[in-house]
Amino acid sequence: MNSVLKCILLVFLWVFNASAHAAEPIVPVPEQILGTQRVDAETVIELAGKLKNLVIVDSRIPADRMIGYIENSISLPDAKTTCKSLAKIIPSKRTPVLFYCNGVKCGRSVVASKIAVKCGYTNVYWFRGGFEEWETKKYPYLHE
Amino acid sequence: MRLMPARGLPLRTSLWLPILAMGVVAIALVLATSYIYRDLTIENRRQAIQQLIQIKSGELLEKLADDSRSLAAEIQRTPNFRNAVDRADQAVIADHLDNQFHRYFNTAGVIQLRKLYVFDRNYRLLAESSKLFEGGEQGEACSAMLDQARQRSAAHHLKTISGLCMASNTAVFATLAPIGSLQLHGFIMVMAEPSKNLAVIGRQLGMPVNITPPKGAALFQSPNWPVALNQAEVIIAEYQLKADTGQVVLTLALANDIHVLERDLYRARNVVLTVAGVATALVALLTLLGLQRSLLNPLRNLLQNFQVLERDRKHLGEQIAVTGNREIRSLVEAYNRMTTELGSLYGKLEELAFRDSLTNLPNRHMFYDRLEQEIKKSHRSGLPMALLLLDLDRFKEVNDSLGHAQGDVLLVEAARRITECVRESDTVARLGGDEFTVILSEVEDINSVERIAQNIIERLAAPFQLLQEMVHVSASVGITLYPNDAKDIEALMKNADQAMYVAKNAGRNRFSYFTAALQEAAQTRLHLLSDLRNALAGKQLAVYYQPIVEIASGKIHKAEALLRWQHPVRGMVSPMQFIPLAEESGLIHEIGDWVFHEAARQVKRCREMFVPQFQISVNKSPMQFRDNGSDYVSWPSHLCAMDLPGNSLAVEITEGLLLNAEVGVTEKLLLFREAGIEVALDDFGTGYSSLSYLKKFDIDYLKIDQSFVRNMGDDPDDQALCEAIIVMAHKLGLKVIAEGVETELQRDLLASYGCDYAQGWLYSKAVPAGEFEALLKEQAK
Repeated sequence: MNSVLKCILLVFLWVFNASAHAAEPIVPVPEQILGTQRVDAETVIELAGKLKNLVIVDSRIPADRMIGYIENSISLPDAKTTCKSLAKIIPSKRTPVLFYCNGVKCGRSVVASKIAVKCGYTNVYWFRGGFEEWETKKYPYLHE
Repeated sequence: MRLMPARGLPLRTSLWLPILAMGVVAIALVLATSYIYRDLTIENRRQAIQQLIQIKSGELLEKLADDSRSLAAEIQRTPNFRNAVDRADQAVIADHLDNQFHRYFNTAGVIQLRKLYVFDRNYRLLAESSKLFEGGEQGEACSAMLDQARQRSAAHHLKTISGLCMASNTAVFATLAPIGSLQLHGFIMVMAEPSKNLAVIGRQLGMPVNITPPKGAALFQSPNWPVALNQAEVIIAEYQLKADTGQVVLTLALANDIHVLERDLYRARNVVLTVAGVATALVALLTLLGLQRSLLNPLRNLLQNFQVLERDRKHLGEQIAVTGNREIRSLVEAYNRMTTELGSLYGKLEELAFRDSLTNLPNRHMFYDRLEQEIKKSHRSGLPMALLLLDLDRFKEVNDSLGHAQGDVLLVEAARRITECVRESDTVARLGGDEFTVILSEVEDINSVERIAQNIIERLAAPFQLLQEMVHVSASVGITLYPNDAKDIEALMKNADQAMYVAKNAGRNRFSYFTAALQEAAQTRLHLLSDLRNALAGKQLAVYYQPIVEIASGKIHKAEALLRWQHPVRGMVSPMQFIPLAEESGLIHEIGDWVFHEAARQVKRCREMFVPQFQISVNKSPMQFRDNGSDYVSWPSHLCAMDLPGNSLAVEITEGLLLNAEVGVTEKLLLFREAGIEVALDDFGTGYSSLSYLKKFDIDYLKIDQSFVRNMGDDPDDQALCEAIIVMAHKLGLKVIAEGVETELQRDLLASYGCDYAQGWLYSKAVPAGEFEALLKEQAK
């Protein structure tokens, strides 16, 4: 009887704990996302130089963004990412768009990228390493 | 025996000395080590400081880099700045750059700003700040850094690089930061003067700092930087800061006072020394304490026992407690075994040396030893000592006829008998063969000597039961006295020997004194005694009566019975001679009783014939009162049997009897009193008179001793005494009899004092019964 209660308690705690992460989706970060092009920090800089109309989307929550963000990136938390919200910031479905979040432990950009692909965007880049990689490589960033 | 002082180091010293030496060595090592390591320590210190400089300067330059980068970010924040850079508008840029010198970073001293450069995307100089370097130099950008930056690939241009470089022979810290954080617009190079930032290291590490370029004067020096003279007492640690090219840009030096270091060093050393010293002392102490118990004490104990043994062999055989280390225990156990064995050997030796193996009496050697001791004892106490030398007559014959085995049995038995005759304090020894000696020590009564000798002779005369035979031997005894006869051993032995031969020649089975006179006296006594035994039976004893006259009336109503001995050869023997003999031999009881019977018979006659209330007094010595265990009928019952009242008899006793009042004596006396027999205290005044006796014993008469009476005529004191005695006696209800009244003067005086009775030659001397009756008859007329 005791062990069963314990089991139930543990499960409950785990679920609660999980939900406390404000609906961060427990999605394992994949290597590739279908419909997107995976890039690293250098490629991001290269793309920024090459593609004048590149839209960089910061999929993190505002709290994380306050620590620092890539210049010109637009804050759109993944929770708020919908076709409608995307449409607000991205001119067309062919506009190159880049999603990033904290890094390989963060699944927000995955979610956002997938939504973008589903919404029909064709030029989706996904910066898997995220802000963590940017920081580690000592590239400059801005913060409020 | 003198004990030689032991040579060699005491054990304790041998123990703590090495420990002390080790301690000293340890301390010396510590000192030597600290000395040797001083230089090493200094060198280590220098190296440590160097490392510290390296680390700290790295941190400080990191900070400077961060601050420079922050400045670069600040510069970019102005919205127009980037546009100006994109437009390559030199003037605007330059102006902007100049403004920085008035802004926080510089004015607050966060960065000592020297120069600001702006480059375009391709590293071409766009603008620079106008402030000149010191010395009026225009300055130049770090070209090496620029080259390095140029060679980076693609995205890496966005990275900020910093480092030291020499620009126009000046040391600067340059930071190259990108303009734009995603898209490159250009570069800002911030050149700062690093010395002030680096100087913080001094404060951080608490040491004076010196920062110098490769050439030229110091850029920074702490005020307490050691003057040139002090360089020998100071450790200077230097660290060279280099540019990426490897060129030395700055030398950073820190100074550390050697004395401070030395102080620390010595403090540490002193702590170690103290610990070493204390540890050594503790170890030494503990070791000593431990070894004290397990080694020193047992050894000392052992040594003491040896010393005791050296002084007195009697302690052989005494065991020591086994304690201490194993080896010591073994030693002590061995000692114990040895001493036990030696003790028993010694005892045996003593026995063999000093004891006659057959009789177990002291042998010749021990005898002489004893004799010497007894002489000393006698000399000290003043009491004479008697030496008896005896041998067994005809012992040789027994030995020859019956064999040595039986002869030995005889000797053992003889020894036993002799020993039984003497006290424990006396010595019996066997000189050899059939010769024995006896030492009678501290003889109080010389007469006892011959008594003992006679006793021995009699005992040895008794038959001996040997293994199969019964034999008779006898002894011849020679007696000599110390100091009377001789004063040394040789003389004594010679005397005793001579005396013994005299005894032998006189017929054996007897003793002989050495001095003729003593011998004579002894012989006389002996004869007298044997004669006395026969005297009673031989009717040589007679009772005489001396009248006791009532002074007032002159009448004779009493008499004292006195014993006389008419010896057939010697004539009248004085009672003073034979009474003591009688008392010694116990004849006194028989004789005394006979006297009593005679007196009783006589008093009956007197009463019947002359004076009805006649009384005769009889002397009774203390000896007679002692319970003699004989069957003499008691006096009161005899009187009764003769139909005489108790007061027909009186008993004369001396004061001495009352003084040594044995229980039996006083009981008998009281019995007499109860029976009516009167008691007179004889020789009153001459002994230890306690007047309480008079009360206690209910005395009837006091007899004043003749010594008082005799001199009464001349000596007023004696008169006074007599008077006093008479008065006192009367007050107590006693009657007084004066003895030894010889003159009328005496009589008159006594009469004047009220004396009741008188006895003496004035009236009559002691006379036989016949004469006495005649006197009474005369009186009756």
